[in-house]
Amino acid sequence: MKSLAELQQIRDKYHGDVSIRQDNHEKIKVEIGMATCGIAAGAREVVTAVLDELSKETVENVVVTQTGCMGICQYEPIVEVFVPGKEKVTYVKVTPEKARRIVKEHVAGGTPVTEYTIGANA
Amino acid sequence: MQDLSLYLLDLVQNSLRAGCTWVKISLAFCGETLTLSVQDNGCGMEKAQCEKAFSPFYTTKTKRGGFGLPLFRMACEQTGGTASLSSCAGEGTTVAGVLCINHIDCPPLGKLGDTMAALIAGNESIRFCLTASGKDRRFSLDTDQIVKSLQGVPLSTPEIVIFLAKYIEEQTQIIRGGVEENEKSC
Repeated sequence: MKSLAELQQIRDKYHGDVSIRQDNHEKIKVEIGMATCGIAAGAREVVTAVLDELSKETVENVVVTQTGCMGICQYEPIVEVFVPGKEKVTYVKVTPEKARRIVKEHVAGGTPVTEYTIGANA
Repeated sequence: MQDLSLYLLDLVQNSLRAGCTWVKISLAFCGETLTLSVQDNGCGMEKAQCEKAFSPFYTTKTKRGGFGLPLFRMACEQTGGTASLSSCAGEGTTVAGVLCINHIDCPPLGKLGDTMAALIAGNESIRFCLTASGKDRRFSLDTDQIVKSLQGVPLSTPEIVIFLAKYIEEQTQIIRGGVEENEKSC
């Protein structure tokens, strides 16, 4: 049974960590479509997979955000990865398993997973 | 949507688009009914918009859509329930739905914890207040209080969001567990 006292333990772990207090424009942004189309297609499960993988990879300079309908509903769930200084990468029909690979290889590792991108699937 | 917590996630998107700074999500279990409500302090709607809001394809977004509210109403009405909204331009909107949870067509509640995780992670500056109540039991969570207790560690830190998801899920199960026990004793 979880209690909010446990939250304090997690807080204490990150207390001295300066990198997580960086401004968002310096961080890698993982943006997930969260309109009705995205939610119906499974975007929430993609978010939880991304968060879980980020906590395991201990990648710290990342912010997870949400966006509305991009107008290509048949490709939802959609995840866009913005690395400062590089072009954005749009991933389509993302599943929790694909999301984990995207976090490991692209967000943490720096190499986009081309087979999941819109270019490879359109 | 596959479960009610996904409808809640969808309804909150409307609140966020309306430029709110806080959202109150409440679940009230009472006998055979569940009342869900999402209240915000966003820009609200004029009377004419309110009348159209539950119509499919009606949207103020530039991209196509306009299904969130009609789908929610359909889900409620399928169980013999209702959905309604009240809004005041410049003040905010409240959307509420009543469902009969024992009806065969009532979707499961689903993972409310994951819905809150998705909302908290993606909207760090928004205050979310969640209340779940059943007979003699009540659980509430206010992200403002969580932020204070974190003393500068960001609320959106993945490990913290994951923890909150599990905490909310457990607490919601306790509320629901209490409801089921009461029904059995009737």
